[in-house]
Amino acid sequence: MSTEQETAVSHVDWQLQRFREAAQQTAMVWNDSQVTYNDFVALYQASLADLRGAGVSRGSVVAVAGDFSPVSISCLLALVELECVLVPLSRESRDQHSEFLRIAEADFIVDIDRDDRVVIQGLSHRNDHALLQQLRARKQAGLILFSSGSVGKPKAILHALPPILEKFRKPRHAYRTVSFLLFDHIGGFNTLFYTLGNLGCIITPADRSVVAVCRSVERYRAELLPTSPSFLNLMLMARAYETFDLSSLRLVTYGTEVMPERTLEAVHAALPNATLQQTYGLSELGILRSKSASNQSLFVKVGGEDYETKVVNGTLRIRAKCSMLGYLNAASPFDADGWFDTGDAVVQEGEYLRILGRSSEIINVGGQKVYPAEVEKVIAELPGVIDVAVTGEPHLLLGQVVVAVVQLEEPAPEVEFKRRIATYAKGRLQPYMLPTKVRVVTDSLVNHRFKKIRRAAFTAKEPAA
Amino acid sequence: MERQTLVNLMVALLQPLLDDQNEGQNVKATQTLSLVGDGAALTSMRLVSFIADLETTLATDHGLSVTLVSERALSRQKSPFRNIDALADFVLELIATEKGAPAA
Repeated sequence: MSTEQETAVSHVDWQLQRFREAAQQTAMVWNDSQVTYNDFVALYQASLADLRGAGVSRGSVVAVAGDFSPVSISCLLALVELECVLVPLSRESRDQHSEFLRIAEADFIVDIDRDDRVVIQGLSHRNDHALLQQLRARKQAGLILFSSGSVGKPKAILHALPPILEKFRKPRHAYRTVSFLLFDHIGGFNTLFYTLGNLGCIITPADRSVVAVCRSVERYRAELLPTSPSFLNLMLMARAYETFDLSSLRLVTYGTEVMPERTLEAVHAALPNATLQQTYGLSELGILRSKSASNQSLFVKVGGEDYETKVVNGTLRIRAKCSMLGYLNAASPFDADGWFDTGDAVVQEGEYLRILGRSSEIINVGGQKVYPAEVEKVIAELPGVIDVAVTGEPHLLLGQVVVAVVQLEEPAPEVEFKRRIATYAKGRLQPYMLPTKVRVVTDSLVNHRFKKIRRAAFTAKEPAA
Repeated sequence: MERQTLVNLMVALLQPLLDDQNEGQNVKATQTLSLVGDGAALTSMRLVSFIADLETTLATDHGLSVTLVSERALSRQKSPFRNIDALADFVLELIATEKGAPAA
């Protein structure tokens, strides 16, 4: 038995030992019922038996379609124990499941419905991908996550699980945590294993709406809310902090999109007891430890013991101790020394970075660079603006022009609203940074994954006229 | 679309941009005010903005989908953007052709 294998197996043993130590403690609040750590031990044994009974064995690629629930979590643990390759799939991505299963070369799908009932089905997608073969040869459990595919098709990201799980054994603070981030998201995976490892409590809201999430925080005195800037914007707009008692929140983490300064200030005012912390993570590299310069600052220190960072030509590069093994459907993005170009444009001040957005999203207006986040920040300050996404659009005279898609509380004529932006932005934005076109919408600009694809998704949906 | 209606619309769209550019000085939007080249009343950014406003208004208020900045416009000997008069003729020409199909 290799050392790596011992690490993988012992993680579940270690985790079960932890569960037994806190047997009567609430591990999870799901559908308003409480599940103890003792219950989890039993559920884990049942999942292990079910999976074995269905023919799941070492090296099987097994998709788990569902959301955070007692059975889905038990199932993930059992699959780690069986040294399988896990493919968590959220219900929100259902339309893409068949494509994902094919790319992941799935041998089984475990479908878990909203009542936590399980159907295990055998599949025949195995195609002996070299990276999967490599993982099987090393007798390690694996994890496949799909990138949001902001440019082109979603990429299948394969990780070896032992080094990722190893990190969760280091004791850290136990929180009562709302499982807001998605089940198939690196952030969601991180939240889950962090919480289990530290014997915290996972609180699942009825859905991911502002009301459901805030109700869960109030009812179950949640302490940690890992979320997105868009959710925080919607929470502020609904003034949910006045309706619900959110005073139990100690830590609110946000990542995945660029945070408008106005939102950050307003969240700080609405949740004065909570520390606000920006997280920075990539499915390819995992979640980096991060520390915001202050509650009201967008400057953040990222890294931690497992990561090295450097800024090259204004773009952040990261080298991780346990980065992915590779993509199943794309070339390796690492350079010869193992550095990963995040594509995120940053400004550096000493040890702190401010993330400006994707380099690929920089708009070039007549040779002048425009960062969407800079423009979004100013537009977001205007009264009545719920959300804004700024993109570039090809233009015969200027190469590209700035286009702002603005979600407003009340509809307004586009030309008139564009004038309001121009008037307000005077002295804040250079003339070339002003949107040439403004589209006003009343629908949310956020897609179900709460990811950076917001701009790309919207552009794709609403082609230029 | 009536030519005079179109001209009035363009004057109304142009004036705020002129006011914005020439703070304090009263430059009046007229049909013959030069918009491109030497002595142009607008910066190129504002001209592009003006054209975009015109496209948006024609589409949203008049159901007319036209693309004003095109190879066709740029390849003309005399710029259709040189003043409102010339632009009005160009817009009417576009509307009269297949490019002036009603907006979806």
